[in-house]
Amino acid sequence: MLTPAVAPIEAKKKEWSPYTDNGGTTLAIAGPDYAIVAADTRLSNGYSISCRDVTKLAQLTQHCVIGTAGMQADRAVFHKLLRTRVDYFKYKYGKTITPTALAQMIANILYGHRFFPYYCFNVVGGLDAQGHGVVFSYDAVGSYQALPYATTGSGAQLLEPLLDSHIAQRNRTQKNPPMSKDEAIAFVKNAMASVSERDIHTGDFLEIAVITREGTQIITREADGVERIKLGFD
Amino acid sequence: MSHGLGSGYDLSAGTYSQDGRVFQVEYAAKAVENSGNAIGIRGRDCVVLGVDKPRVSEMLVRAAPKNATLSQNIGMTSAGLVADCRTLANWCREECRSYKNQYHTEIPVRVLSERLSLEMQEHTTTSYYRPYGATVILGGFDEDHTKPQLFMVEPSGKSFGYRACSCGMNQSPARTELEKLDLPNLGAEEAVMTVARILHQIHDESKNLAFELELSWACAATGFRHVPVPPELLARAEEAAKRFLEERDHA
Amino acid sequence: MDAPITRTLEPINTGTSVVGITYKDGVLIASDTLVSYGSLSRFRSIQRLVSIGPCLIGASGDYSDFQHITDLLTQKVDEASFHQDGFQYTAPELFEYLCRVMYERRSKVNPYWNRVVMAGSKQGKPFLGCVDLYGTHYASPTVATGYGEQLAQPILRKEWHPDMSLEEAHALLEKCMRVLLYRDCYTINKVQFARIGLDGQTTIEPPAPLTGTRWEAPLTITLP
Repeated sequence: MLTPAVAPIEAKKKEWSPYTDNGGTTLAIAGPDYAIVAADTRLSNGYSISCRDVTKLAQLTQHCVIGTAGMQADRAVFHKLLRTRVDYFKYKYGKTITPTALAQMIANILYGHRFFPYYCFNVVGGLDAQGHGVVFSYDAVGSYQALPYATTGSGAQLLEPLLDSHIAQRNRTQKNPPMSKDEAIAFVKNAMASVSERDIHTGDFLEIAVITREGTQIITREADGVERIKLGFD
Repeated sequence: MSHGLGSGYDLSAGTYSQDGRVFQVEYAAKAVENSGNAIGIRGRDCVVLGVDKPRVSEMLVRAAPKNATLSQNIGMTSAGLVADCRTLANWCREECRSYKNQYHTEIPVRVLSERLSLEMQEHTTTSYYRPYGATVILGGFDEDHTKPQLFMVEPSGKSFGYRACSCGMNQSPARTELEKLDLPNLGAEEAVMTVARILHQIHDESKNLAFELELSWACAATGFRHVPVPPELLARAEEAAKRFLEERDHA
Repeated sequence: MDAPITRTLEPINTGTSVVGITYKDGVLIASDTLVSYGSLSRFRSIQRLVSIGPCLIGASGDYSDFQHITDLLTQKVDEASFHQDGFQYTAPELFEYLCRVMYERRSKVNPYWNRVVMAGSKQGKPFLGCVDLYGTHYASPTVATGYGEQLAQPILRKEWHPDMSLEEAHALLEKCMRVLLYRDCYTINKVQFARIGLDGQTTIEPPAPLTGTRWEAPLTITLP
């Protein structure tokens, strides 16, 4: 049999990636009696800012909020899907899904899309049965873990050491007591403001969801009433 | 085996009777004759479609619309099983849509009637289907808006173009009335009045069934679109029709 | 042998920027009338702003894809109107539908190669949205696609305010179109404006050249 001396030249295939990264940073903290989920509202498109006012948070139940960095189009359908799944759970079992159960469900959905993943980097915050804060952090294909704090997205690398130092305090000789809710909110504002100084994909406005036994309060943009948290430059 | 009218030859549209009839199709035509009446008129530069909807219950607030818009310029009215009529309306809409998708032109009424007739005929050929228990009147304009078009398709798949046509319980008296009209000179508003009058006229009062009138039209005044007749004109037409009946009864 | 599956991997006949802003009584959008074939100015008088039911759309990117999207949306609006039950889609509803269509196609790795701007109103307030070939979408009082995102958006964000009059809005978009005419190769001086009022009334202005552009060598210009 004759074998060609030279491998046949294949036309270079043009390809198009169905993925795009719209940037953004999320942050979640589990406190003794609260949980916080926060994210900026910038929508990046390469070096452009497409929009300054797009939420990355979705409140899924009274005591559970998800924050998602990554691709905005994927996030929109993912949040939409989660909302219907949360409703379905209630129709089927007659009670609201707990953050822990929801966390597992999110992992299952993400893993179900293992071979065409949602380009979504999630953090989930909520309160467990005892009223303690819980936080879960995910990768795009459903690997997840419960943590005392978590961050994902374009500014995660900048935030992580700050959280290690201020919340975990592993290498401190003198340890501070866990932050109260108000201290944590102030800390989140400062931390996210810092990230927005150096990460071009993070900025504009900050949204903070504060989850306590009473429910979820979202500290957000002026339009929604409470407080306008402007990040970085005007 | 059944020993009724059809002696067993009436159980399927896939079987002829010994004298060459398909009873199922005839029964479908009967279903049309059991329903309210529908009329279509092609006047001077206009098409008017009318239908009477029996009030099935005293508690009914308002009957659902029976005249359907199929594309911008084409409408239909029908008599027969209401659910079959709706199915056919949706089938026609889909046909109009796909034609427009392919040719970027509104489907001509003739083409739509031919396609509808094929669909209905197909339901008369196999035992798998029950023939549609509906007669459909298609009316409207082609994209050039030059000439009003009117077609009627029956459960057998029969389809013809008409100057005026009727179907339903009292289709024959209606036809007698329609034949008296000077159709080529009938203006749009006049045609509306006429359809209302005839539908009232042919109504069987001995059965004492209240009914609701529904009229739709396409003409220059509507920009050749098929739309319901405005309520003001509808009210005027009904009033005139009732006056006509009173005067007739007095005479 | 089966023919290979073909997909749009690059746009062919393309339109460039569309810019849009909301103003006091509605939304104003603008684009030029050029459809390019690579670097050839192939079709010089194509309307890229279209009125569909309750909204106005315009798009940059592949023109054939845009025509198809226009057909899809028109169909959707017509379908609803045939039922004659008084229901009409609002602009945000139609926008959500368009976003789902764009996302569905990107998920089939066979995108509509466009960035579509949609204008209309929502509960008595102007609505202006934008969706791209990935399904990325947002609503914003200022929107610009193509080179407009780099060149016009900064101007729009700086000078826009919510109670602009139509004249102010018109002047602002003209300014942006002038900048784009100077710097974007794939544009011509034949520009079209279209607006949609809060009552849903659309007005598509006839295309016209921009005035007040200067093309002399810089040395000969005497600055005021």
